[in-house]
Amino acid sequence: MDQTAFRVQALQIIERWPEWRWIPEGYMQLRWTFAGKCQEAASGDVVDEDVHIVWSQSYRVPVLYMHLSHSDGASFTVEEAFDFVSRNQMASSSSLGDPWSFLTKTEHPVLGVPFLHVHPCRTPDLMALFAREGSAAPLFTWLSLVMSLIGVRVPGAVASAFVQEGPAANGRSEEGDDGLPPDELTFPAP
Amino acid sequence: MSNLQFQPLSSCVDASFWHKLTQMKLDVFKINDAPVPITGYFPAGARQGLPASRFFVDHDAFTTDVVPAAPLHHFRVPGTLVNTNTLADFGSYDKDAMMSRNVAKIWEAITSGQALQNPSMLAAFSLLTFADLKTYNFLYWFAFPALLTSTGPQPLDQPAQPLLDLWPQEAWAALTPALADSPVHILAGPVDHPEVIPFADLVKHTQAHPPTADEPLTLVVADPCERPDVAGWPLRNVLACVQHYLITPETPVRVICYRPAHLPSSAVLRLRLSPLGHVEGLPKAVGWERNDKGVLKPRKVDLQDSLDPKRLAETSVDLNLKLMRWRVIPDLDLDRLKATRCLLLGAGTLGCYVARTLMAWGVRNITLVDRTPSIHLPPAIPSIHLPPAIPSIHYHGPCLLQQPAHSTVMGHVSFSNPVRQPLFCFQDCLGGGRPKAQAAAEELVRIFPGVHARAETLTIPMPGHAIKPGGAEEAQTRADVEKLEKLIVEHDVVYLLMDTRESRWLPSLLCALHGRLVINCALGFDSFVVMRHGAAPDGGRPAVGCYYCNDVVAPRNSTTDRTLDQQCTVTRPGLAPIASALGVELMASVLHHPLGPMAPAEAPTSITEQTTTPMGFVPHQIRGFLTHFQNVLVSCPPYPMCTACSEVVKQQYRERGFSFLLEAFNDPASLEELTGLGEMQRKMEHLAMAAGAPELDATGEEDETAPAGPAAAAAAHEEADEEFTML
Ligand SMILES: [Zn+2]
Repeated sequence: MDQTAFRVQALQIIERWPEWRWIPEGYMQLRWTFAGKCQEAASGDVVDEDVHIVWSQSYRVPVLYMHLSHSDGASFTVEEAFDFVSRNQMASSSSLGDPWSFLTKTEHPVLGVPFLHVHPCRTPDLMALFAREGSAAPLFTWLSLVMSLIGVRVPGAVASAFVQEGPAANGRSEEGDDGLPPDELTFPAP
Repeated sequence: MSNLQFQPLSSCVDASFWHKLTQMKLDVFKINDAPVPITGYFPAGARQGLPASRFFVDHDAFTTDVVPAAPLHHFRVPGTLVNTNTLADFGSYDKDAMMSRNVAKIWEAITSGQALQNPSMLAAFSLLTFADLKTYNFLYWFAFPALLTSTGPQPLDQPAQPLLDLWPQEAWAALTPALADSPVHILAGPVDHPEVIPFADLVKHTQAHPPTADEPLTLVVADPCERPDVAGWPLRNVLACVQHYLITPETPVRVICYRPAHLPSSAVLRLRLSPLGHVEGLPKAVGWERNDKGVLKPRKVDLQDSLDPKRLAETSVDLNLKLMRWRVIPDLDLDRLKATRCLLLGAGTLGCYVARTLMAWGVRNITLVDRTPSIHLPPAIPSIHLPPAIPSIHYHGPCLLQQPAHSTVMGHVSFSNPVRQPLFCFQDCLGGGRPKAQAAAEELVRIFPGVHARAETLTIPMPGHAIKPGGAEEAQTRADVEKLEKLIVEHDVVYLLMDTRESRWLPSLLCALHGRLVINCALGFDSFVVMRHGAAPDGGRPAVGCYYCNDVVAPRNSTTDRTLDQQCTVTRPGLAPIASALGVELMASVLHHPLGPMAPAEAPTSITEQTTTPMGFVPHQIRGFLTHFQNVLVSCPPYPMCTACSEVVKQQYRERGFSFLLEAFNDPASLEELTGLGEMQRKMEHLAMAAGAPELDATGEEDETAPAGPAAAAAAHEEADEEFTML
């Protein structure tokens, strides 16, 4: 994948998944609010997520930058973010343990604000794997994988739109079928 | 019939807003606290399980020339920010006036008709802030003014009807794009083909289609609430605006609380609205937000961890090390390293590199000691009896004596330093040079503000460097000894990084006495020794010897003492960073050994041998030879006749204190007599003479078949109860 392919695939995703938007500086952004499933946590388990997918020139892969905050606006520390990701990882039974060890705080390449980011050193392997498996939309495949770890559900309609288009999504369609709340299905992509 | 209930907005300030505000305060506002236009946004509805009626501001808030798009199903509205300069200003700021200005703005938008063109103006808000840029604490208070009308809207049905009971879902899917441009629209047309009409056409539309009970005026209002019986806060001013333009009393109005984020929660409210009539001055309003305790007071957020660059540097440094723990060494005890207090005796080449490597390991407490700055005059040639006569590969002589008199002002940064000593630069050399320990400590803090770096100066007295009795020199020496001992007690690990051999004696003795771990680095021209001294709690026997134990047992077939006549600073430039790094890594490994400084000397038999501790083996000494690009591991036990760490020496110091030291400084031979070394040397000479052994030749070569000499020496070694291993 090169930067042009990144842009093309990103715009395809945004077209089908309109919660994302394209930022003219060259990255895609999603604002998401996560509400924990824990019964005991009433308001404490709400996480406001500002998720950015930025193209890394040096690693030539997409990089996940995110800012997680509590409902009172206080930012997550790296440890809290790590816990959050680990819990989601258990919930999603993803085997993608390793890349998350590289969760660090760094300056956002465009905004210059401190953001959490997943160091891209492992991403090329993943992308190569998707390419070998013949994914037609490797960015979406990668995205749906990493989104599951920060509690963002891929809307069923979006997942099936990508699945229908080819051998691509690598069984990822399950994500849309496992009991999504009905509102996620309210707006089929145009 | 009770009035319609509205759910207040709940502010949600993204950290990026505070980051941007901090930048603006520093670069643009400075001390100007005049009102500034900003924007915020609220969601229309909330996904199931999420908190509703939230109101967001983020870094986009300040971009007002081209208003940035709000996220999907969110609506951006204008606001006014006042950032006060002080906490007192925040407290005393005229909040009633602020509210009035906001209400006037909304009222003006309604009466002028602007609000019909741009209904987001109806939700105009105010934000009062104080940014404490020293602590990165922010105080803030939102006002979401809602105009109070004498004739409040009254719902006709309880509860409200779900939207999807009245319209098919497909119809709304088709309307979504048309409804995204503004928070308020008018809906007309049949149920299966509804039509969106701009709010701007309110008057025209109601005149053309006078609302009836069957066909009421139908408004679609973006609604941040999610409850069926309660409406979102922004609806209040929308209704006030509609009331202002209504002419007929008791107009049937239907409001669709539009919640596309979770469309099924959208509700349809039938209301009875009356014209507002004449309003004297400004309408009354409510809307200051309550804090997290439900009190009408400002909210507060502490963002030091995410905004303070110093804190960021600290978390990044720690994180980098944690990655090592997560990825490679799960047993890595970073807290232990972080808490280790390191005393660096010497702020020269070795001191600079050791300090930097310690910092990279996350060590936070580093004290650098260098000699008291003074003009160095070549002293009279002293009689140096230490070390014992057997030369060792790392012995590089009393370099002080060979330095040309003009070369340095001792203890100051000189022009030759910066290229070899990475904590100094050219500027430090000017004007006679800055004091080295001070310059080095300051540079450490400049590199990483999270480090506690301290500088101390003292002159370490040395055996063989005589002290004039009774005078100022003796008093100064006594003070220096006390200071050194206090520093050693205050630290956990002591690095010996001086450029003379004999200056290591007193710290070696004091560390042995107080059970402190010593890491000792010494350089020759192209060889080095890096070692740890044995340390044991009071009365315990250390597992390994010290620098001086070692010399007595130095390998006899070593190369000649070619470094003996070199100046100490004449070393291959790569040697100091190698030796310094090894010293710090040795410390890190020792601290991870279950026995810590009590760990016995370990040496692997092969490079593939399984390590005993998380960090690997803990050797006693590493001797490096740059000529051969080889390191060898050496160990020796504590030597009972050691001039620095033996029990007899420690006991003398305990009993006689400074007077014992003074004797050693003035007459090193007294130490040899005290420990029995002198006697042993005489015995060896005697044995050798009796056997007629030839002197060792200058290359130090000898072989197994050489007559008598080595055997005799070996006998002497045995007598000294020593063991020497070279692996
Ligand atoms: Zn010793």
